[in-house]
Amino acid sequence: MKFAENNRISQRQLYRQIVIAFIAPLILCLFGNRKTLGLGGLAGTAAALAAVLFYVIFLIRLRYAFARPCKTAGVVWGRLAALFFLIYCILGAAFLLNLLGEIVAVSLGTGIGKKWLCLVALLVCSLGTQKGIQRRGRMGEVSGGVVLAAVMLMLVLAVGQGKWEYFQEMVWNSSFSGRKILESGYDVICAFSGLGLLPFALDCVGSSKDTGKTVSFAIFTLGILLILTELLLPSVFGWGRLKYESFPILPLLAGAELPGNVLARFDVLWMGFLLYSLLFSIGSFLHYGHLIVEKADMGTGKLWISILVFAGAVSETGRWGIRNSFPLYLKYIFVPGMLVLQIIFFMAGKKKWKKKLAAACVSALFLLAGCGGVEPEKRMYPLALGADITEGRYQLTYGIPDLPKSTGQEKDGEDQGNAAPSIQGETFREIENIYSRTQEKYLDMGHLEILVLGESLLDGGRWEQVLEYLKQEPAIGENVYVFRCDAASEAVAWVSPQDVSLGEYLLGLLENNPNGSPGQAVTLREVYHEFYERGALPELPKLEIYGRELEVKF
Amino acid sequence: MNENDNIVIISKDIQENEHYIRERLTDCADVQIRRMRLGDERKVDCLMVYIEVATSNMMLEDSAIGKMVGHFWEISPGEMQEFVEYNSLGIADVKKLTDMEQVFAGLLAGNAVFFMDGFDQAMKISSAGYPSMGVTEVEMEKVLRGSREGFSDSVKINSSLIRKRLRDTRLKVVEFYIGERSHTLVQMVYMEDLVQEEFLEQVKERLGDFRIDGILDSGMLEQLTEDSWLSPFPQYQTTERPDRAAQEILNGKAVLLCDNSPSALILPGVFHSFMESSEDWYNRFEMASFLRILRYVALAAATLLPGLYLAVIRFHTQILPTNMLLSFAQAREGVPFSSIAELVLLELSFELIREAGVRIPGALGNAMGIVGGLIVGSAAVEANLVSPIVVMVVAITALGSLAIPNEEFASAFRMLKYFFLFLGGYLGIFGIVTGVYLTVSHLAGLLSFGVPYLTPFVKQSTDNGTGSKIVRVPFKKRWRRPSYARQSEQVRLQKIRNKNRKER
Repeated sequence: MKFAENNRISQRQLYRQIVIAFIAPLILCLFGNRKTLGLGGLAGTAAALAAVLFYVIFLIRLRYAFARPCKTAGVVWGRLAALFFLIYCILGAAFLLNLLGEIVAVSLGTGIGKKWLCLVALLVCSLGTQKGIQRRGRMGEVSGGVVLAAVMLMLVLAVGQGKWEYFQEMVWNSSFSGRKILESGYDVICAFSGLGLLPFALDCVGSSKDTGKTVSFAIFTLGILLILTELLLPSVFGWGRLKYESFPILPLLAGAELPGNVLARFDVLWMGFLLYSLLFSIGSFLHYGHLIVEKADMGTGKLWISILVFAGAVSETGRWGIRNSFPLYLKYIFVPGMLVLQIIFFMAGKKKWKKKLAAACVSALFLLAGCGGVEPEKRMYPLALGADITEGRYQLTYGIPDLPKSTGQEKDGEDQGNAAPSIQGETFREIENIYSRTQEKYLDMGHLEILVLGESLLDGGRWEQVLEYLKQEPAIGENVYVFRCDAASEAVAWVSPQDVSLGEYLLGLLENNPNGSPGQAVTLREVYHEFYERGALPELPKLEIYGRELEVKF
Repeated sequence: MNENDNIVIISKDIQENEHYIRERLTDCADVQIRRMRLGDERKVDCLMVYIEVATSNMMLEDSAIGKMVGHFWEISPGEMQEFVEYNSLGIADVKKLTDMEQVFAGLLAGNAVFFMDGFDQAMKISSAGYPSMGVTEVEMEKVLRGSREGFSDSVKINSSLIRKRLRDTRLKVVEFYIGERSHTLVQMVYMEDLVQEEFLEQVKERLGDFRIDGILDSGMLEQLTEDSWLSPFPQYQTTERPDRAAQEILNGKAVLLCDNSPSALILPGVFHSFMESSEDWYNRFEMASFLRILRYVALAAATLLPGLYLAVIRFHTQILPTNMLLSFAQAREGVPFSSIAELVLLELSFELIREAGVRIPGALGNAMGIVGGLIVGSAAVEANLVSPIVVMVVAITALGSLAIPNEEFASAFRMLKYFFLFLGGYLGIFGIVTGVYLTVSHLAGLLSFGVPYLTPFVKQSTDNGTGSKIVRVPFKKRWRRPSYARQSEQVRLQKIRNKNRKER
């Protein structure tokens, strides 16, 4: 019908598809362990973006050659070329699926195994991927703008956490050599390798004369985003810490606050947008896989492509899992091979049971895997944590507020009182195990506000292990205030004359009292920064306790 | 009586006709077959066949049939034949019938059929027709500003209500009879020069795509002709408002009216049109835009709130400010069910109250809703069966779903709410994201007569000036018709004297 779409996608749909499919993979994978960061990284990114923009011109000219590869290069060579790209699609999807499984399992703590998460994600992404490019175009058009705006907004909100001194550290300490620029640049080019699949779909894009501009504008948008992130990350975390962060983008908002205190933390929402983009990217790889199979007259890839992707995502044999091997494949095989192939080509010229299966798998997931959700009343929310050394062993003390009193819902005669259970162990893992064996409630560290480090811990130099332990707890925000005290367990167990726990008391002191403003306090993020930068602790405010009186000495 | 290809031709012999009719209408007690002798000398045998209630009393002089019978007592047999031939009494809607199938079709449509001895044609005379409620006030789509008239059960009244608003010869009404046994009259109403020809062809094709015993409501027609019958989302917009139907006809859409149904089907149906209310175009644009945004927020709340609540309190407690979370935890202290079971139980209780309220007539239904909600909610909280927070979540979700203007559309999201509830409850924010992804993917694949369901959020070319976005543009800026209207008739508003007025 004239008014309906004529099996094509619009330029706007193409633009948004590119943006949404690239956002999450780029900002998740490019900045781990300072890979493309620093001055050299910035220069490399800028150079790579320029190269990719030139590559687009070449790419547009390939549209006819890849519209029917078998026609262009003959059946054998056409299919071999298609197979080359198909392997990339399968490995790319497997890599992103594995990444998604890890992020969800580790950072969002659903309590469900990584393999199951990968299966759910794959089922979700697979649905409808073989049903034409229009569907993906519409999906991209509807959600691309929202995801881009959300990511931009989150980055803007993270700007407030940046520090000029941290940024200067990056300027002075990062390398600016030709080698670094080349390495970073090539990494960025590899990250944009997905653009190489575009010629398979360009014959389905309307107003072909504008395609070059559209793709270039999408790359430009993503480039701005990359450069902004490259500037932001060192400013927020400091240069030293970034060396140890595999996905520095994830904790970026762990210390950010939303105006009005509507939400305590919103990094989970940020991850939600990244996950959506990742799902779209995986779906795009699957879609292009089907498209390539169809264009090379290789039958149908309805089921086996998804099976191969799942197998690739979950099979990890030692060091040769998809997470380690895909970047190498990309660098040394796909990108050079793709360029050679494209040059050669340039020169040459429904089904119900599947839905039932998906539903059965999802149901099985719920039945077999159980769920990690724990009801809010069955959790313990320490507001303060004391870490110390007693008899040569670690001692953690959890400051639990009196729930009815804190919420103003206490009834007559009901007095739970503040609690401060204290557990000792050789390692933190042992302490966790003892906690699980002795306490009825689940330990929820998501609302930790105060960390108190005992003098014996600080003097003995074992505070580093405490920081490493806290780093592994994704629920702990980086805006936790850190103090020192002679005896951490005693401090955490302290209650004010009004029966207010230490956590609530110190929070009130810091946030309601102009003289005790948070500006003078030290946050966990600042502690991490000093730790990774200089291997030392910053000057921590000290808690002095005199009976039922408490004083903070800044 | 002649039979050609199973079509029985009307005979000149009235007895033969009567015999055939009586045979076909055996045990049809509601059909009256009245013999009479008319003419000035009472020598002409005549026969009147009609359905008892559907045809007005023949003895009443103010009815067309009464006038005709009265007139036939005064004229000669020759003049009677002339009358039948030329309708010389000037009765409106008289039609000559030549075969018995036409006779039965006319009769069962609520008309009277008149036979005269020696004449091989019958006369169909329209009368009161079947009983119907007439024009009533709109119940489902109430507005503060705009017409109060609503569609009735009679298709003829409904098309006239549209015609009353669009007095243009280019407004076409095409009739179809659907249903092997119900012979339901379906009318397709459209503006000839605004609607796409291919689209009309497709609608006609789909109406002829099936054979069914009976169509009793437009909802049956909708389900038989929509693109994706498995989808929970309605692909035709329904309305009980003639002004809304007229508005959409001016947008280049077509309206299907089905006899015995007060709900008109507007096609194609797109996502945004379900979120519009007819008064959006009667109110000032600022307020209308605000209300539209509010409805989208309501839609998100109605769908996602329970799932998000579970995701947050079961997995991502760090999102909430500490005081709020501690309140939530304290409120749930002693509740015997898991938060998922608690929410599902309360949601189902609300659905029960809602369903019961719909079945109970009038004010009692409203009272049932309020009393049920208050008593069940507060009793459940008092008994510590649910926490007060969950009552709030369910109440906000219900309010959100009630704020969506289209009931069928709201129902789709009501169903979807449970899907998100389980995803959020078992997988946290990851579940919510996968749910949103699946929903967007499904909606992106939906078409209504070739028009993408997500129009105008997805479009091939610019839609500037159509005003069909979340924010309603001022009337003077709404100069174009939507993209599905005929390309040659895209302009709907032209400024003529703007310049002169400025000069003055």
